[in-house]
Amino acid sequence: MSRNAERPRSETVLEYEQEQKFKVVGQSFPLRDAREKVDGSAKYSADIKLEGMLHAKVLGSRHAHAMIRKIDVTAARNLPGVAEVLTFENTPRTLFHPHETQPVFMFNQQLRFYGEAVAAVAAETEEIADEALEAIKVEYDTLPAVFDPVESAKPDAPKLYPEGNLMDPGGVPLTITWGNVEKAFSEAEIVVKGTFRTPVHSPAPMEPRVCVASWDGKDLHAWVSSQFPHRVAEDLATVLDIPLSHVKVVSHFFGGGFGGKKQDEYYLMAALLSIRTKRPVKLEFSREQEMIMGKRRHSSVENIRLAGTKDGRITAIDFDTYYDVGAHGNFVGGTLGFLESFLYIYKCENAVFRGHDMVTNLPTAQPFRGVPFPAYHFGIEQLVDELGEKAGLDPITVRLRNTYRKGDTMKPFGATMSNYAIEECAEKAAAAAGFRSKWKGWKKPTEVRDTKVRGIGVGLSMGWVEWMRDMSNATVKIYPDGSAELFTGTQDLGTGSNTTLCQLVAEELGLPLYKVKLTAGDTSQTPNDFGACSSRTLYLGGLVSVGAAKKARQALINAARLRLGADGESIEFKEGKLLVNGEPVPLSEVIKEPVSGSQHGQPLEYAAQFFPSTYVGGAVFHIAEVEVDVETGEVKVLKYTDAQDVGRAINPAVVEGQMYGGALQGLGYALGEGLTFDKKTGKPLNANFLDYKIFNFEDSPQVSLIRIESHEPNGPFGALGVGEHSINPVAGTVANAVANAIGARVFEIPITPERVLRALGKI
Amino acid sequence: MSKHFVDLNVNGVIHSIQVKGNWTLLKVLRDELNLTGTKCGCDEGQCGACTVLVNDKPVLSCLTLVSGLHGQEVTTIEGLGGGGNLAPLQESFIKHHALQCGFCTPGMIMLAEDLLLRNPHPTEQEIRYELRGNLCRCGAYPNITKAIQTVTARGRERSNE
Repeated sequence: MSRNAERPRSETVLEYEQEQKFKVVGQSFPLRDAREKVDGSAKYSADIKLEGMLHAKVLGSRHAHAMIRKIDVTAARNLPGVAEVLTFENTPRTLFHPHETQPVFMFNQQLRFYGEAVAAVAAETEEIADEALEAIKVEYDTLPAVFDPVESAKPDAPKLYPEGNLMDPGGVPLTITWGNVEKAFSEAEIVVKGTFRTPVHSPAPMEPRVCVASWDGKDLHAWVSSQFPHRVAEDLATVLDIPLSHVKVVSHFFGGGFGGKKQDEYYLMAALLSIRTKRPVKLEFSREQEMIMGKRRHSSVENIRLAGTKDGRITAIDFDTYYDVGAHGNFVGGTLGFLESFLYIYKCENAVFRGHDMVTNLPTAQPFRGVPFPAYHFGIEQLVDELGEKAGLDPITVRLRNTYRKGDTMKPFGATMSNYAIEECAEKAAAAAGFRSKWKGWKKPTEVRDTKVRGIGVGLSMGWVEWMRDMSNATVKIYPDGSAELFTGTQDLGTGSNTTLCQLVAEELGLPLYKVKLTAGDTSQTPNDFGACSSRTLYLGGLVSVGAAKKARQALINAARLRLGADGESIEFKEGKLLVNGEPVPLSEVIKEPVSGSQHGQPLEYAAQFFPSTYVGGAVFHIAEVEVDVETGEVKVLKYTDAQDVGRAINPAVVEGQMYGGALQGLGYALGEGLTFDKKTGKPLNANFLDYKIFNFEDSPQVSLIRIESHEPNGPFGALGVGEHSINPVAGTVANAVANAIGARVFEIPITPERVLRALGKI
Repeated sequence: MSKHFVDLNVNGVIHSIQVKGNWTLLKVLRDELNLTGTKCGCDEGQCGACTVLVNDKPVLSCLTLVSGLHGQEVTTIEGLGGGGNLAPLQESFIKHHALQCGFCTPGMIMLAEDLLLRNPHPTEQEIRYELRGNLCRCGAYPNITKAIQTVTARGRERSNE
């Protein structure tokens, strides 16, 4: 394959214990909680049943934008079996501060989306709770509503907030610019541009949100399905004015989150209902509520221009985008300041990135796997293809010519790429997909059979795992019999981290995996952790777990020196045994109690930021082969190839599960998913699994997974995070394959038959 | 709503349960019998997480009214193994990482169990077709296929002996 001549091939770094044979790391151990998951004994939050437990239900707004004029709960309260009713009138006016949205109240008087919580009821049975919801009389003053981010930005748009609809800091679009963009465009040999639209994308975990809360007059115990158990505990303490030391949040089993399940109002409601009624309360969302109140990925309208040279080098990027962040969102330019990260993949000397976080009268948006990048790549990958076509380069060459390499400095924030095995990913993906033999050229289908045309397309991405938010902490204890225990505050979302983190500790201490116990999913027992997101769990959670193991071992050796008076002698802890000058000494002679070591990740500012020093690039390269029926417009993915640098696979089966899951959710985003709302009322139209189609068994194509292991020098045993960015390039890759097949571009996902036929000019 | 009694044989144990006419099998399993291995993903028959066997046939327990099941045999995920042991299919799910978050897993296993009862040697295509109604958002489909086929292969070895 052709390559970028002046760049050395990315070498595989084996700095981390070169060619060392690991005993525990690198093996596909079964998930340590797999048995409970297959025999039905795993207790998810919805499975918790307490004596005297009440059932809670939430009433949602029947208007997209309205002020509650009057709310009468008398009839609901008087129903036999109703224990308590909460509304904005009888709940704390303490702001609740999720990290990824605007601060909100538990209940708002101004309702900004169809389905926003109006009231919550606790009753003896679910049926009575439902009856009570119907008995609540709400008088609304309806307000004009806006459902589109571009419309929301217009001066005469209905205002959701007194300060306006733009939720970027200072009330101006977040803008990042460097170089001289206008000059670059005026001097450009090639200019390509397009406007790209992406839909509201629901994380749609199989488990709806649920909380069981129990207040005994002193302590609050809450079982919550959340990726951020420690943040949930803080929210409960803050809003309900309970000492944090008296709040315990448990989330031992968790039915999928994908970024969706973090900080929400519902657990505050369940806990307050429990406090008011002095009874345990269970609040479980319906599927519809999960998809509406459970937040979702923003939709977007992206206007992108690329300037380039005739040999296909990008000289300038102009990216101007409108994000629909829903009723209470603000994260792209707001709380997370994401825009800076957009320059992360294609280098250029001149750029302007301008993002508008526009509130709309739709459910609140917050990060979902890949955050803004799946939408970003849907646009930019198509334009990079256009650039390649005009420059006479194939799609792999044009990408390798414009993306970074290991050791490059990323403008303008000055981070140096510690690793980025993109060429190896591209090469292996191309070989596995048979790209060289299949590619016939731009707009030339790889194969034509009657009305069915086939095409192939590529896309790339990069992880951003060192984009670290706040803290990760871990503690490791070594017991007098040589076994160990890891305490981690992070949450296993189904990502297998409860297994892989223990593998790291076992490897570090030289123990078999079964000798490392895990304590997780309980805030009263675990050290604080920001939460499970951004592919940070294995990377940062892993680094502190290994660090804690090292410190525990050192504590053990120090104890041995003290106890044995073995000054100057060699003391080691190997394979669960204490060796003094090579001779085993029973551990129990040295310690009677477990010794522990803790490692604390560096706490950072509240808002996210790039490390100025290094940027860990987990390279991703995808290739899609599709078949399009030009009569019906249907798109079928024949084969999907997914090459990803995972650093080192601590547990290869877990890693591949993440790669496959990311690809599959991306394929759904590209081809079928999208929450839709009535254009006049904002009422959700497809908040269920029948009308919102996630990929099922039959939809799922063959996916070739290629693990590249470049051994990231900064990662735990060389590992990188994997799950987040595995979704990023998919929609762009599929769109490029469709364009290759039909010779026309589709500028909006999902790529439905209708949009394909429009692109073909048939309708 | 009036209540009446229904006798259900659940995992080999006969329960006489006072039920209301609108109670589903899912509700009875989870709330009355505390068999919480059967999951509720949608409560409207669209995700398959609540799949159990009634007289060895798979049903969506969230759409099945319990009042019509008097005297029937119900098998849930808790009843698949025996005496604290796992069924071969459960073992195979563990071994092949045929699960991530695990929420769809009990329903997947029950549906696959039915498939293997009817068709001990399903092809990949047959598995994809038969299990298409059960959703997994994490993306464990290929490993689920592997787990089912490996049990099949083991069955084949046994039948060849």
